[in-house]
Amino acid sequence: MKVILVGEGKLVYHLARSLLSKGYNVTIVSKNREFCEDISKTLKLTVVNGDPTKIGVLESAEPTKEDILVALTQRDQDNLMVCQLARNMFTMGRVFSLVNDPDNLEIFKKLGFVYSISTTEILASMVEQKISLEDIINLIPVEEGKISILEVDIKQGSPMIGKRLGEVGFPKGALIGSIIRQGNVLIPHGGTVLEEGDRLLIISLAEVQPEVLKFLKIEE
Amino acid sequence: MKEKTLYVVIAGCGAVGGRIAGHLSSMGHSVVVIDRDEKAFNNLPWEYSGFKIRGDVAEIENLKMAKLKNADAFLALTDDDNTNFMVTQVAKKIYNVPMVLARVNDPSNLKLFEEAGVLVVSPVILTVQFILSFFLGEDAERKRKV
Repeated sequence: MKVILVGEGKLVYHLARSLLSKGYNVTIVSKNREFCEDISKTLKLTVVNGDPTKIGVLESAEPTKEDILVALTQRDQDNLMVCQLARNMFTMGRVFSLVNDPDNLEIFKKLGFVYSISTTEILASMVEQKISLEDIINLIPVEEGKISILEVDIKQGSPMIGKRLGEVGFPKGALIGSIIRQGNVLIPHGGTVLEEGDRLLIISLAEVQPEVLKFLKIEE
Repeated sequence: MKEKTLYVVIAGCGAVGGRIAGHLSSMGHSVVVIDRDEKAFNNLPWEYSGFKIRGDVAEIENLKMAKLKNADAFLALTDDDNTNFMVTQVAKKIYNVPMVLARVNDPSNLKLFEEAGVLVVSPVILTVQFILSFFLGEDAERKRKV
């Protein structure tokens, strides 16, 4: 199995580097000749120089059913075309795409590309919710972002410290799945008392997430 | 007898888009053309009475502004197949426009568009067919003499 990265620039470079370090075979397809030359000198991977939205060019990357493709160009129409070719012409099942204009997410999803990510949207919603990023260690969207898993630290001054979970009135539609306390994992129940420094693993519906953050006083 | 007035949105106001917009507009249809290049509107004939939107068609916002949801027909006529593919899918899947047509510049993309349920026109295929018509068929010889 290999990972085919389509596009150029820092994003592709860093993703390639990180995947290589984890032991994956990486192939890059990019229109940009200079980028192709540079990256083939610095990283150990296969490079195809050409327009990835052309069937013949994409074919040179030797895509197979088992491979993963990630479309990372700056143009959504190019990414969509690459995804469509990958799925319809090369029967690839695992196709990921960057969506630059968050308004375009809908059409990617409508066409069945569920692994489409808009970094703009993620950042925008974080800013919108005025999340102080240090407090949320991790945020994993699951099932097209309908539900997410949050990792949050209970900091000094949190109103939840010293209270039993049963009495804090945690928002409906979210639950604390586990507490990491000094390296130990606890599965909480109504009687569990929260302490400063606890790390909470919270499972939350997307629409409840702002409420959860507000509740944890993460919102400024 | 006057035919029903149609609401037509056209993406891309080049040599093709501009002419089509002009014809449809003088036939009495309401037309909106979208192009990101202001100069492209020079391709519209003087009698064109429809709307012009300056903006990138790949931004759904501009299609929304063109009231695509009310359109009877959407024509994607830019010279970029990838753009045409994306916008026709938006017209079909999000706005349920009854008639969606794309200009497909690279014939190797035809299959992809057709599979996605879009009406297609390929300038390359049309040119080839036209030229071949002077060599094939019963009246080919007569045609060549004209």
